Amino acid sequence: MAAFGLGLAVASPAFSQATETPPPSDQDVPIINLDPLLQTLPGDAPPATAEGDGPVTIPEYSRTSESADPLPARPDSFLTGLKSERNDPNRILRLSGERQSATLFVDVPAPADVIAFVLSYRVSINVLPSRSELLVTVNGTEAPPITLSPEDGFVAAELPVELLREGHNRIEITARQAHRIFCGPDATFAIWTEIDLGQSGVRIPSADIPMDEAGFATALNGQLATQGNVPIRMDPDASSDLLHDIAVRVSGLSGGSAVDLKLESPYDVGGAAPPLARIAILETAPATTGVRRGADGAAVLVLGGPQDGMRAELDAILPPPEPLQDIASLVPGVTTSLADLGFTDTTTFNRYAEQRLVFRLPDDWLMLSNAEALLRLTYGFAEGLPQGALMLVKLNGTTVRLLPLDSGGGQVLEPLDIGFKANLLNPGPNALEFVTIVPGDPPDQPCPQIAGPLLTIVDDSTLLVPPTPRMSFIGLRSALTSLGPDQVVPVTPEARSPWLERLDLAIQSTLRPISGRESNAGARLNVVGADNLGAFSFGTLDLSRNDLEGLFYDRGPEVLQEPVEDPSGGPRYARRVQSMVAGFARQIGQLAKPGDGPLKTWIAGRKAQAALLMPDPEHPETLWLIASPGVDPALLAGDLAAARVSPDGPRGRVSILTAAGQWQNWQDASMMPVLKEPLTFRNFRNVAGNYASWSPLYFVSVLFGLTLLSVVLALIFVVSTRGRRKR
Amino acid sequence: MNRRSLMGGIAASGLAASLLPGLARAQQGTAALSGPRNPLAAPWSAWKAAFLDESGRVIDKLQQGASHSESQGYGLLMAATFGDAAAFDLIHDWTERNLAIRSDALLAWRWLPSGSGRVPDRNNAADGDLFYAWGLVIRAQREQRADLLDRASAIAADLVSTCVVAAPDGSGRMLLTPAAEGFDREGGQIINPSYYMPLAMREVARATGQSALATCATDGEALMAEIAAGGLVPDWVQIGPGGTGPAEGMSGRNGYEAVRVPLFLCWSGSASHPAVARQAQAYREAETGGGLSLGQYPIVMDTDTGKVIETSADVGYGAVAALVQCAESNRSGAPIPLYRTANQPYYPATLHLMTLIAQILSVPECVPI
Repeated sequence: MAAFGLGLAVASPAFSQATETPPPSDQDVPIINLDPLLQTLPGDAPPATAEGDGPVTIPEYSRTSESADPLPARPDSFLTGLKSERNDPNRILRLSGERQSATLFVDVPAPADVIAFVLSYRVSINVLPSRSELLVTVNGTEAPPITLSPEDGFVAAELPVELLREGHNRIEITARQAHRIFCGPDATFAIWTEIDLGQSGVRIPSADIPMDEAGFATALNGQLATQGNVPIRMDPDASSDLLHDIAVRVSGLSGGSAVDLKLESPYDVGGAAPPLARIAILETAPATTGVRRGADGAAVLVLGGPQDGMRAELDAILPPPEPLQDIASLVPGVTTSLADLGFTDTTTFNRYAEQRLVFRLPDDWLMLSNAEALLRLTYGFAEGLPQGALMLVKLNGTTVRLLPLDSGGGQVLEPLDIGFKANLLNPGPNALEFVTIVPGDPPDQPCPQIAGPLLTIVDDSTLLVPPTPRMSFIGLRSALTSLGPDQVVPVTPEARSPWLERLDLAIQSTLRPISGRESNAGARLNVVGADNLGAFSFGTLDLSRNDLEGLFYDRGPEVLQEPVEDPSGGPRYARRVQSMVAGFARQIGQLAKPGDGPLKTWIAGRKAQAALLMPDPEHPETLWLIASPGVDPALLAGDLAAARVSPDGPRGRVSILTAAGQWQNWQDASMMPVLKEPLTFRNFRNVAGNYASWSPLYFVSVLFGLTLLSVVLALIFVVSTRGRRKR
Repeated sequence: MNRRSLMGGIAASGLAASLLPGLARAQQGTAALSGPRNPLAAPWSAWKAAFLDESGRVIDKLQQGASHSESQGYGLLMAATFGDAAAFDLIHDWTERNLAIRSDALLAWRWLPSGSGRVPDRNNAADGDLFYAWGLVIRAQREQRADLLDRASAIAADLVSTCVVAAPDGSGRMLLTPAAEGFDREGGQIINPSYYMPLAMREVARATGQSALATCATDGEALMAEIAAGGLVPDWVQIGPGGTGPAEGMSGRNGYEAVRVPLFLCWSGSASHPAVARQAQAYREAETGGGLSLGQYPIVMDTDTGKVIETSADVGYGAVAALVQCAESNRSGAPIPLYRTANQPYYPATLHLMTLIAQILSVPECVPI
């Protein structure tokens, strides 16, 4: 108080001599005559003591408080998480079998800031500790091996921080595991180590994050790893074209995973755990872009001003990701080695193993006839494998060859020609798989230790696929692969639930362009929830709203549309004849229309978490995604993104995503293959073969028609020339 | 309305129309806050759930669970601002029944929940009366309610006649005393700078014709500008014939009272006021000085040095600090914490909500980031 008084009296003459300094705004204030008021004030004021009987108190308050409940505290440090190559939104990575490896990545701001380098893992109860270990290599340098010992829950192992370097770090992890009791394919499934990518990584002090581009990137990685989402704070009534751009950029930062952008109002009521990072979009602000610390300690990327300017600023902080690397392409008619197709998983140590090669055929490659493709396989396997050891060679899930592995091992065998029907292959992505099954010997004891792999596929094995005329079916895949983030269209944007908004953004985040693939400016993906089917346009799909609701919701047994006959009534032979006729009609129908039958029938009884549909084949670039309410946006978006380059993705006109994450496809029988090149003498045979294979009855009908036409022409010729010959 | 108040009203209207862009902006923004898309609907609901009981009493637990004309006035003002007729009626009814017991139109300043004398004395509090009248004015104007306007006019008239006095320093200024009784000391008149809410004083003046309130607001701003020239604005000051100095026996620090000064100035569209700049500078120095940990906000500071004497974990004080710093700077976006009532008592929670109102109405560029 003394200082205050001194300040008033000495240091602040203006303060103590108020009459000498007119108020700053006085010159602008109209003059009001206050004389009457001043004269009446003392007399008009009511006598204060007349108001109460007791002593008068003055309004003073005790404002000091101790908050009863502690605020949700920001942790002192956080883990950045590890990224996998597969960009799986699922944060748990499982390494199963006798030996399996994975490559992980972590970005480190500066090694000096790192408190610890943590690997969080848990081990199956079946793993034999004395013969099981986790081998970790960081940037090519081995860390001390970790003995795998089953314990309750996840265990955090600390790795040497010295192995890390600033920036991008590559971590190779190999699990070597043995079963305690058994040996064989079942035992292979039963031994596993799971790594929690979100609870692993480098631990960094929260307070040490610099409020700059690098610091924001570190905090954002930590946010994605620990909370799995990125809060976006913006006016809920505003719409920002930046959102899908941000979604793609954040996804790029996290290795292409689907990103869950959590939209929140600046005026929400708080209470949740504070985030490590968020983005604030100021719609009406002057140009402002930068990283600042929020009130809760979060690193906040503030974006304000004209959106073009923001994008330019954003490039420095969240650069747009590179296009998604496409799978290798196989040129039909050209013998190509598996190495050139990117096959790296050449060896297996597991008693059950699936070695998979995914490659792409041209979108307008279509083989429906029985022409053959050729796999020239060079392989070898360990000597002395037990009886019954075998390898299955599969194309798109269909076994084309079974190879025994129980004799002749210990060497690389001569190349083996494996011919298979080319119609097993699809336009777009395809999968070649080698499935190895090696029984235990004996199966009720731990497997013997082995020095080398059980099987090796030599990557100079080759694949030859015959060329075809340029033909294709109209289907979902073409539009799906060409979709960009700005082509995801919210249906009924005025009535979007927060969940649908998050789903839109999660899908947009994963729709990076695929390298080498052309974009389609007309492609659109309309996204609706199954609880809003009124917004769905059914087009020419023979479906009712009730049919679609049955796909997403549990309902009672269907009311049968056809009358049920009493089996005890009527002559038995009549029922048998009826049944035979119906079966024959079905077969004829299948010959005529070889699709999956009526959509109503196909969809009945199926359940899905999402469905991708093409309502109008006249506009094949317009797709609809119907999502079951409450489905995890990031997981669904991840499934959709993976489907773009997966042989197991959507095809045909309708595809549903089951709860198990598998796409089931419906092909419309009325849609015939489309020839995309002129019909010539050279391609006639193949084109005719495709049409004949697609619909034999249709083809026979056409041939029959042509034959009739020929006969008629011949008769006309004979009749018209007969008189002349007689002459 | 007599001739004097009519002339004052005309003058006050002129002030509002020509000199106070903040007033016009605030009036436009109030419409947004009272509409169906009120962005502060969730914080307001949280505030009501935490502090407004079903009888219409706004409870301040830290004051022995008391209610006071300040809490009732703040509550009524916010209910009016948000167009919440139900909450307005509850607060209004309770206040009229329990605090409107003086012989004039003003409110008794405190009501205690226990004891025989629930209103121990009938002294008033000028800020409670002012905010209460402001709330009445807002709803009266929106719904053309003459009864509410009449009540506001009566309060404004008695506030002017009771608490607006001539400054004893010979400056010719008008002062707003904190209450009818207890602040006219031997050495001069004690005032609480945070009882000045310029926007409220001008709006009430304009609506009721009590132009002295508008004049008093302008004089108060000038007084605070002078005080700010020498340091932070203190909780209480005494103005005597010799000038302005500390009020004996009362806080001369920049603390729980004075925290409202820069908030109300910003709300009133006076973000460039020297008191705002001084307070912003003190907050900035406190934050960059390294003495504060995350989640601790300066609440009591030395007026001369700006040294932090006391901190608080109540985020409402952090909200004020963030808004004041943003409003004073040219930056957009302010690190205003998300609203909460779970962890903070009535007073900081109310200031927090007022900060958000002020941000939306008067400093729109300072959106919470």
